[in-house]
Amino acid sequence: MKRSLTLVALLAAGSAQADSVVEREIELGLGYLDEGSFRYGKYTGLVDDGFEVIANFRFLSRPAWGSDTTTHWRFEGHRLGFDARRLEAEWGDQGRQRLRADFQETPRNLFNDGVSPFLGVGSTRLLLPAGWEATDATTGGMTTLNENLFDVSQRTRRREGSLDYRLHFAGAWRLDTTFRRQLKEGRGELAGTIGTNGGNSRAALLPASVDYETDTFDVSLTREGTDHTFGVAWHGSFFRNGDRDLTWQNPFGVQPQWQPGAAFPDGFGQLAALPDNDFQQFRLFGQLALTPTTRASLDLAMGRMRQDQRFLPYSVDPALAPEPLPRTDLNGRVDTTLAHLRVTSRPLPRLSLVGRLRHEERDNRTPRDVYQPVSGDAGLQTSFEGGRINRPYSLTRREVGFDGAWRLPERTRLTFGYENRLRQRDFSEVNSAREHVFRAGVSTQRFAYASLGIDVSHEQRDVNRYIGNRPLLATRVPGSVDPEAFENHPNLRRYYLADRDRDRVQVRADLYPDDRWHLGAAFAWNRDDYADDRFGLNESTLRSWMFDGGFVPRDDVRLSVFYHHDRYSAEQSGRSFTAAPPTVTDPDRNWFVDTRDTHETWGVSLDLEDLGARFEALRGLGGNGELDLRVSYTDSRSRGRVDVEAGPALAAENLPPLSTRFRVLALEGTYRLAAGSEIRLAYEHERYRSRDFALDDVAPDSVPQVLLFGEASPRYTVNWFTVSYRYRF
Amino acid sequence: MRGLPVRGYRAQAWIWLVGCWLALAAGVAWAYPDPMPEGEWLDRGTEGCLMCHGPDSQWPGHRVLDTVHGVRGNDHSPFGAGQKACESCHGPSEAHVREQLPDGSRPPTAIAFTANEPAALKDGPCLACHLADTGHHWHGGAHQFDEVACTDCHRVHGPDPVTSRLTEVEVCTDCHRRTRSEFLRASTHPVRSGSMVCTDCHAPHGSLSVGELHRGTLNESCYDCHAEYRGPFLWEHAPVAEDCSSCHEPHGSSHRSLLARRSPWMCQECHLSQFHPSAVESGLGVPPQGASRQILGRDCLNCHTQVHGSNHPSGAGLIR
Repeated sequence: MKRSLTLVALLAAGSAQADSVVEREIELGLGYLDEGSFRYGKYTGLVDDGFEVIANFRFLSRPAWGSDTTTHWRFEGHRLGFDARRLEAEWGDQGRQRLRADFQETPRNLFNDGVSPFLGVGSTRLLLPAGWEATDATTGGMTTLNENLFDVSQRTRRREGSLDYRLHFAGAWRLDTTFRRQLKEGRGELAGTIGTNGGNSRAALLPASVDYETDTFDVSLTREGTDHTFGVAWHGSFFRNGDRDLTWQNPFGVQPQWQPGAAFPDGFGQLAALPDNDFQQFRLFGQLALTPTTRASLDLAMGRMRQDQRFLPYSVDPALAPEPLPRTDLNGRVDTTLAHLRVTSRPLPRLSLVGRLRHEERDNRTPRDVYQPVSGDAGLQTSFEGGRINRPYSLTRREVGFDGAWRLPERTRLTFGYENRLRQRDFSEVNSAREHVFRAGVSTQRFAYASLGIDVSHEQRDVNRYIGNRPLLATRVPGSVDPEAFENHPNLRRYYLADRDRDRVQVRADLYPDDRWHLGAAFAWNRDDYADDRFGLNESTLRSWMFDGGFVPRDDVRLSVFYHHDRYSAEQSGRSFTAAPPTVTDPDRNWFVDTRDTHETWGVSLDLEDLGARFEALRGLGGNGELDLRVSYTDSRSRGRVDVEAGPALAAENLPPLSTRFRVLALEGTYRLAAGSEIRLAYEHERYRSRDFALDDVAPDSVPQVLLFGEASPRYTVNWFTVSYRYRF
Repeated sequence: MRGLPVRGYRAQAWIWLVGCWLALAAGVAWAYPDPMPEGEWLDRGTEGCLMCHGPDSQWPGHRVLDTVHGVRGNDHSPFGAGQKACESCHGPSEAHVREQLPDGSRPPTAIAFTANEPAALKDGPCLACHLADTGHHWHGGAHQFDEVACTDCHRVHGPDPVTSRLTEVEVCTDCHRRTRSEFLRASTHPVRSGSMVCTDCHAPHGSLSVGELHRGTLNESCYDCHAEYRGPFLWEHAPVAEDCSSCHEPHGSSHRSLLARRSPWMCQECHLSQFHPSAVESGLGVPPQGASRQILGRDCLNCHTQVHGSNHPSGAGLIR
């Protein structure tokens, strides 16, 4: 902050430049938050009550009209007193070169009311306090839990800086280079699980360190012509994680199915942090105007992802894993290919056509091996025959299609289109799926006071053959499992791999009764329909209504309102089954879930400019009496419902409702004291309420098998006042 | 409707390729040039226009001189040497000055940038200079195809709100109104707070990818800020490697981490194996009736924490 302001002052002092116009604007002030709230400051960092500094500035120099100079510069900073601050600087010689530098910090505060017994937060080794006791393998057996809980927050900070240079040279050539570095640090969360299967495993939410660094490079060389463009580009992205693993002491007591030593106090678990990885991509691109009305563009991009982070051992306890790893690192490699051809043409004055051909490939060249895992650091290492083989997924997408538009008389337009998509996957239940997409629409503005648009589309996905146990067989040592064995229920159809009909309708109407009024309405309906006699997602639907309006009786008065209602609903089904074969086929064990998320948002805003022109009394306040006011109110409400029905062999009840409600009242007034000098007063009242059955009334030890953080769903009411002085000179 | 008569992908691809090129050939055969306005040039320079469009005018146009378009030292600027000043964009407009309509008004300039003019006409002067600058995906891109004109988003006579990070989102959501409401949901990217803007992800002048994203694919776009999830991992989660939007709603959701639907039911749409993955999860698992580890806390992620992929040799179940 101090460094930023010093830079501002230096630039202001030296900004005078011949042939240029220099504009300077500084805003300084104070803000006051009456009550601290972690959630309110989720992305701004305004989490503590009290005063905050308001500091914004903008300096720029541009060529004066009539001068021959072509250089300009700009330096601006926003929200400098907050944790979410941004600085931008730019220098350019118009038509020749430009240099730009940006810096931004963005906090992300999720909660600060969690608790955890772990010590060493921030390191990669979490230990339990000295007085910890665990009499059995449940949270109820943690007899000293309450005396050993420490506050836990989940907050990260992302800092990113970028440098961007553009050079035009040799007439028609352009070089663009961009470098961006992102650092993300703070506290996140992971879950540590110890146990040999889903029945005896025990887990604890862990406060985990976040220490990421990503460097991104983009370089491109482009030849620009009046009828053509072509070039070459390179993109590189390099991710580094400061942590390689996270090790934690098992807080649970003895579980008879675990190996000796796996429970507290000797037991430890270990998980792998997200690995370092690289991605590089080369791209060739070009565009050619074949005729005055026909253009073709082609992009060809080839990339490679790599990941060779050294593996952790099978288990943190070497005694559990005598067999060696098949390799020391993954040597992961994915080759990507993207080819895109597009031809646009207007063969007739009223007809526009776009044809597209796209090929996208993710070719996973990662070697496959048999891994002999240790289940949850608590079991013996599996035999070779019981091992798992990794499944490096590859994917190919091909799309070919066209869109057309035919312009009818009286400002009416018809659109139509078709697309054929092919998806090919390996290690998947479905090797090949094809989609046909049909689109049509009409829009008209034939009446001066109204416009109307309707779009419809139909998509049909057909899969060749769904073989439910193909992924299972692909991950097991050949011959080690029955070819008819299955993992997921044989009647399951995963929604992204299943036959599907998707229909969409969108309608938009606008009325302009006169120059002052605008009224609009829109409706959207999407439905994804899957087979009803299969398990999984059976149907999902979106219904959306929207109304908005505007009233502008004069240039300096604007009123706008909007209302938006979205309802997502989904129907899914399943069957609860165990290792006992009769349960697999027992329809009395079927269950059905109907989820519905409803979002309602409405808002109103009123802008009044230059009130002093109409209210003489304002002139008595001093200055030139110009006052702008803005008032807005927004109410956003979400409700979630999960209704469950189950067959006679099962018991089920509906879930309690989920809800969030977020209301903001904002008032802002700007009073101009003189030309370039103004005072700004703002007030924001924000109220947030939420209910979530997964968090509310759930203590760290509410679940016998999982040690939670015990944080509540967020709710707050805050008032944020700001007063600032803005000076332009 | 069960597909087209020709089943082979390659055959269909060739049919469409040939179709594209036939359309292209049609363009060659019946090449209709862009509807360029005709008329006499006024050629009276900037001052000629500002006589009527100065600061005190009812239709002031002088503020363009304070913008990037008003740089005389750049020969490529509309006001540069050899250019036609205001007519560089507004077209030959002698009639606008010399003639008078029966109602006493003047005929408009050749291109007046009004709502009644076709987008292609209004875009002509802009693309004459900026086609290469905006990227070569404009033609055939979503905005061009929907006849959104450059001046529908950009303001030329004065500061351009869509090029400022402080005001860009307001311009975009003026049309993309549903997205505006999505930004007000409980779980969003930091757009409302001003740390992110639409063009951080989207390329409004057209791109290779779905949703006009900067990168070639959706996942590549997400990896720009979330490279930690790129992998490749030893144990991959197939839909993650394929498409982030299988689980996430990028503009806003009422569920944590921008999830499209509530878990564990979202997970159960794909995972229905014996014992707990296929168990019915209902209100009986919520206090005071019960305490299901599949519902409370992080539900499935209470254990399967590495849902984006695991690089642990024992992490096949995505718990390590």
